[in-house]
Amino acid sequence: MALGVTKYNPLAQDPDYPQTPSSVKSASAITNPTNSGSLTAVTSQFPSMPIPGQVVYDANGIAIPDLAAKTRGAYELGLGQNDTLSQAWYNIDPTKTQFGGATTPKPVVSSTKTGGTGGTGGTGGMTATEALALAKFNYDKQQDAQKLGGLQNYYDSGAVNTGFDKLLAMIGEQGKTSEAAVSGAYDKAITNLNQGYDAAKDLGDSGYAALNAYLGANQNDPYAGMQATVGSAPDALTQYLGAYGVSDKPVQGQIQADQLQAQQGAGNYQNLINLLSSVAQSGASSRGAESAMGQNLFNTTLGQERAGYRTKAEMAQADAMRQIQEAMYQQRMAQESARNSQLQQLAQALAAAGGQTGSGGVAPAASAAPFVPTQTVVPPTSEDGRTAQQIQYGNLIRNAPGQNTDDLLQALNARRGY
Amino acid sequence: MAFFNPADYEARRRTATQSFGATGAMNAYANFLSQQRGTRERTNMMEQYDKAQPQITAGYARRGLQGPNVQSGIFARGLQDFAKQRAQGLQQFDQGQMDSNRMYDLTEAQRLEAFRNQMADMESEKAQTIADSARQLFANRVGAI
Repeated sequence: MALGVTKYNPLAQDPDYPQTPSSVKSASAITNPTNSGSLTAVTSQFPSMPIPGQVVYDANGIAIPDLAAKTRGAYELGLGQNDTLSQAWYNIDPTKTQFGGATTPKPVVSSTKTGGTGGTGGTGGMTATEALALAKFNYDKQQDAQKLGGLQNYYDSGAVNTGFDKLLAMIGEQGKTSEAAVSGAYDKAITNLNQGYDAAKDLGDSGYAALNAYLGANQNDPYAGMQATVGSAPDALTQYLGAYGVSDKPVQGQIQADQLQAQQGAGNYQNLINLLSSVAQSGASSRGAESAMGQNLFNTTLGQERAGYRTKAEMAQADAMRQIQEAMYQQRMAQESARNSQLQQLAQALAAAGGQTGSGGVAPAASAAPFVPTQTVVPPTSEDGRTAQQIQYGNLIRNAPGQNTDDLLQALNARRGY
Repeated sequence: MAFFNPADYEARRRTATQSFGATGAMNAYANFLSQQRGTRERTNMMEQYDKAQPQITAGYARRGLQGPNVQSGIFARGLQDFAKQRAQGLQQFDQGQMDSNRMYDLTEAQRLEAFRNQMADMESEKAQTIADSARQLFANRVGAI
């Protein structure tokens, strides 16, 4: 208690915490939330140094994050509450720090100016807490500026398009490969089609050629050359009759009459032969014509079938090409959509971070000027209709009546690291 | 659509050819027998006429109608009738034989025509089957594309 350090708890004075006792009027009334018992239990003359990773709670039982780091940082800047502890804990001479320590504090001049519109910065110096908060704010701002610069450069350089361009090129190449494969398959199909047609035509023609050769070599006219002859006349016994002084004239007359009748019969037979021969020749001619017609029909049918198969192959090729084009179009659409979505998200991120998304946008430098908000943000309201700022003002005035509320709010935000 | 089967075609062709040959041989043998019988019958007929000639002359001689310094019209008429009967008999027999030969020739010609038509039909069918087979092979080939 003699050092008075453990009595100070900035969070206990934060008016944002509703549980904060409003009756606290001075630092002496604030108790150390981590010190639950009597100090008689303390064996060392110094309190324990905050240990990284150790969870420490305030008076309201709320965990204080990164207390060890914050405490060390404060002492390194000379903003620690106790110069003795600065030496004891961290072996830091407060007088050699930026802010001089608690005993011999150096005047703090803000490194930035807020334009003289929002508070006391740059006019009358800051408290150590405000300076620490400001340093943290500027550090965060610098980090944000670096992030923004990288993001802006990523956006402006077109690097964001590289992956999409590669994907689109791959899609195009794949499409060309697929189209070439389809064209190759079609060419092979047509080649096979023509080869199959030629083979079938040769085979069919060879069959009809064999038929024509057979018909030519085997003219079916067995009646050709047949002649109806008349037999020789019998002997009239002319010498025998003459030996007895008898004339053979009646016998010759009989023989001539019979021969005439035989000739008539032979003539009729010859007519029949000629008729049958004519019919046979007609049949052979008809058969030759039928062979020619059959071959013509075969070639015509085969040609029509080839045309039909060719049409099917062409339709299959066109359908395959259409599917390839459709697939490529869908893939391109998907990539362009993803690119637009990513660019949109990037643009939104840039816009939120204060970057530029127009043509010729320039990424801000990492050491840009402190950020000055340009947009008015409508704060949320509480159940009774008061805004967060109104609640803060109420708490501030209640805890420090008579002081300027803007000054109080700026100090509060600085303590919070805003 | 049936494919062309050379074995089946050859079997059918051989069957038809053998049938045609067998029938032709049978007909030729029958015709040979008929010719042989006709020749024999004609020979017998000639022998009969040759034997009848002296008997006819002797008959008229016994009746005193024929002999040395005897010349009757009855004998002359009878001898002429014999010669006419002989000529007519021989001519009718020869005509019968000729008609038989013509019928044989006509039958063989018609049989040959039918056989050749059968062969030509088989050849046409073969060409048609080959053409159909070619189309089927073509369809199979393009169907596998």
